[in-house]
Amino acid sequence: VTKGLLAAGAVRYIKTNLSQAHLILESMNNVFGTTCNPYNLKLSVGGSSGGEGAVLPAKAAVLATGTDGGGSIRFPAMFHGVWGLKCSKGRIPMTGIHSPGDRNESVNAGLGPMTKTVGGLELWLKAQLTCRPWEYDFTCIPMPWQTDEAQKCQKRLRIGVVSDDGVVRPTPPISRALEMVIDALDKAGHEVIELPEEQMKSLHRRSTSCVMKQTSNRADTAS
Amino acid sequence: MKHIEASGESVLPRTATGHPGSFLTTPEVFANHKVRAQLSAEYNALWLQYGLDAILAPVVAHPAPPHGKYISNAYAAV
Repeated sequence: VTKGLLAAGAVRYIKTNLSQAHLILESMNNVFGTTCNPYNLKLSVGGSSGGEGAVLPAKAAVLATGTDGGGSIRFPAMFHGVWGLKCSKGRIPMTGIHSPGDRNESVNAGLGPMTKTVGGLELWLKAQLTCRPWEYDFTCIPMPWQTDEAQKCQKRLRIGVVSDDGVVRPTPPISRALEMVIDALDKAGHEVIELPEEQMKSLHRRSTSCVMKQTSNRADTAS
Repeated sequence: MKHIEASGESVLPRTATGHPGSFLTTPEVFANHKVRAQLSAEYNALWLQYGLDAILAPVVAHPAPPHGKYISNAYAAV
């Protein structure tokens, strides 16, 4: 992943904190301790790529890189009010990364950027794909950067909303943020529809239990 | 987890879901993959039924919580 960035002239100068074994959505471990949110030190930076989220509002870096299987880019991005993009598996080379992503067929983890601007996301992804990663990492899809696809959409989009997954109902600040996005999309002329509530709740409950599946009915289960 | 076990480093409570005590057996993993494929198909059918271009959902149900207190990553993980 660093190959594309270095080829584009990036200067690497910080490696930031993450969670123990990438397994939690926090950035705490027994080696480096707990990373604090620059907006409020009492609050979490999210994780696993939490330190990368924190460097942006702390003005320590302009472009951050993370991995994401179950929210590890998206949690830190949200907790710091920055943009995050989890690229699909197979888009960015995972070779050489010591994370559950490399050759792990069970977890569909992907790499991606966090930045303060949408243009920053574009810069990062363009740098990666300009290096044609599929020519040195066989797990990458041969799909170059497509400038046309990255333009502002002219047609009317249809966007489905999941406002409550039936597992954890969003708190008022989150619902308000969702309303603001829906409002903005509506004003931009797009069609926003609420997906069928009961069906979505059932689907998300079953999916959450599948993702977080643990052994049951065994005496040695970790408490 | 191998390196954590070898180091004798204590496992943080939240990491403990990946502890050997919670590992699934091979048949359980196999069965869970079948469930995942079925759920993906159901989601895909919804996507086609409504002719969607995108789905909008929260990342997580709450803003940045106190350290170690997040509730669930259900939205992001699904």
